[in-house]
Amino acid sequence: MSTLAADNIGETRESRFCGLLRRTRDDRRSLIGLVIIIAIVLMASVGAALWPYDPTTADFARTLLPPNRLNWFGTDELGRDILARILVGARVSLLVGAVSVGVALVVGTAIGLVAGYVGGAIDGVLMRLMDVLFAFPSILLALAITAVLGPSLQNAILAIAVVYVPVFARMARAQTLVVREMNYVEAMRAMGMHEGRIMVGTVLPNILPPLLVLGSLLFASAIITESYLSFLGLGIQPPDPSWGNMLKNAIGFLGEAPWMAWFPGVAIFLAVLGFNLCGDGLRDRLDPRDQ
Amino acid sequence: MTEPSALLEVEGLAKHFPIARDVLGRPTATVRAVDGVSFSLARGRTLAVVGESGCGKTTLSRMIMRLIEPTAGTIRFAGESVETMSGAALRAMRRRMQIVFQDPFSSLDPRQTVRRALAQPLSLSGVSARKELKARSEALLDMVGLNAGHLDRYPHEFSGGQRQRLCIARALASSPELLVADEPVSALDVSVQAQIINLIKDLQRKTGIALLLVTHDLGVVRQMADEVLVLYLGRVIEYADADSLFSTPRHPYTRALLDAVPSAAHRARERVVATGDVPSPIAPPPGCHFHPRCAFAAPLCRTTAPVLEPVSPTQTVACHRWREIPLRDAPQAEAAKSDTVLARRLRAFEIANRKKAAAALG
Repeated sequence: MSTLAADNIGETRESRFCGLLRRTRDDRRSLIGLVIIIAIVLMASVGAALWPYDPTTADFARTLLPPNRLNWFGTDELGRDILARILVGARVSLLVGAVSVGVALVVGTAIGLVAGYVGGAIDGVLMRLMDVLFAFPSILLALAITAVLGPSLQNAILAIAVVYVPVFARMARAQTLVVREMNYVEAMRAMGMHEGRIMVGTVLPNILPPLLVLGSLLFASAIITESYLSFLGLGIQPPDPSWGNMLKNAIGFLGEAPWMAWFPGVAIFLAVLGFNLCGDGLRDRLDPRDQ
Repeated sequence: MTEPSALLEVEGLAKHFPIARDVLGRPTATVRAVDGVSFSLARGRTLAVVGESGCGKTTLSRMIMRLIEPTAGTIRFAGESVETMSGAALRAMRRRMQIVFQDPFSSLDPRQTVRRALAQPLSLSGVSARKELKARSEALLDMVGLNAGHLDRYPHEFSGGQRQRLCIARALASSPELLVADEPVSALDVSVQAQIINLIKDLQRKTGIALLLVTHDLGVVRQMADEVLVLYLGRVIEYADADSLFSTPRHPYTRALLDAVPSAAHRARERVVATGDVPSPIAPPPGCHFHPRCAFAAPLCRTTAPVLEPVSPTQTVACHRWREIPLRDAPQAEAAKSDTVLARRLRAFEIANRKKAAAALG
């Protein structure tokens, strides 16, 4: 047994974070996703500051112009620059995605973890509650929530978060049911560890990777859901732009100014693609067997 | 068998799992996984629990640590009642008895390095200084034949045998007085089995830990056990010291188990064979659970469950007809006990160890 691993004792281990970066670079799929996301973030911050047009100032001399030298993406029916609106709208889309998915991830995971680990009546009550939320079509539920609370960006974010909580809760519970039966959890209990510590210290890290991946995928659909809500007039209010309400606007002008729909559509498509690619890559990267 | 200074005393322990309930949630059918099991284990001794799969061995081992709640019975560990404990007292008690599981692959948290896996039980038993944690972890690894270079590795970087060594190291971290080993080698290669068994024997010699060994492998029992408890469908059918059990097995089921061990010397012998499968534990046969498979079954066996009665000071058996059943002849029993592949490997291993020790001294 003395020869078991003499080979590896001197090896220096790179930190987890550096390893993650290196492996991301080596995987073309998640690399493309990452580049897209970084580009969108840069656009939303630096790009919006540099581009000379104001997204809300109307210019009635220059309405419905196709893409040209001054307005690269054209103008809308009020003569507002579409590129400026897309750059500023990116902030809204990213904000909605990050906040609503973040809140849903934290709340949903907590509910699913407790329900799955504790079981019994608590499990029953929590999961029936989730089922009630789940039973509504997600758009309808988000619509109802924003309709009750009033149309605003915060309420749209809240509504999307509520829609996604049961999705995370279900997956967290399913994962917990698997992990909880593992011998290593029983070993922790045999060690005399407190149940709460086992739940947070051992079960949580082991159920987290698929949830993070789910989060990255839902990030994409949160952006789409926000665009639906804005499209229906329940998200961000005019004249402030979001990709969703720009699309809604464009519908009335599809015949004469189709570029009004093209560019926000492409922006949504690229953002969704970026997060999906990253989520896919993340799943493989988070496995310790890959290190 | 009951020594006055017993470390672990179990009395009438039972676990009934409800498998079906009526509308009001009352159980309508139960599996009696463990049914009235009693035994005692002294410090530094080894008790083997044997039986076919599904006989309640694993449930029994989990109940002793209260990882499964017993339905009835008492468990006394070092004079204290385990079955009534709760909260911090129970957690403290669990640290004094540790468990090694059958499957080394699911016994270690895949996201924990060896360092963290060992630090947890150590810090739970009061070791907090960084230096001491490191020193103790390294000492533990050394004890189980691994070394400090393994500290920052993840479980997937180890083989099955190495993982089982890690599990043993983790179990020993809190300096327990009792080690429950639930089929510790069944998931491993035969060659590795011998190493792990030798390791456990070694550790027991060094630390004086008591061992409750759950297994279906009679080769392992022969090598390690001082006393043996034979379970059939949750009930004890024979409880004896290892020598008596292997030389004069009294229960037809024990006989069948011993005769089932393959051996080159078997050819000419008349074997006791248990025919058929283990009956369903949901609806076990009335009377003696073993009667449908028993060559010696009489009408009494079909109606009345036998109780454990003493055969000798070191042996008890639950069989109505043990007086009438002829003993197996000794020489064949001798041959049967040591002729498994595992036993041969163990012998080779011990000889090699002795040579190594001699070389180290000389």
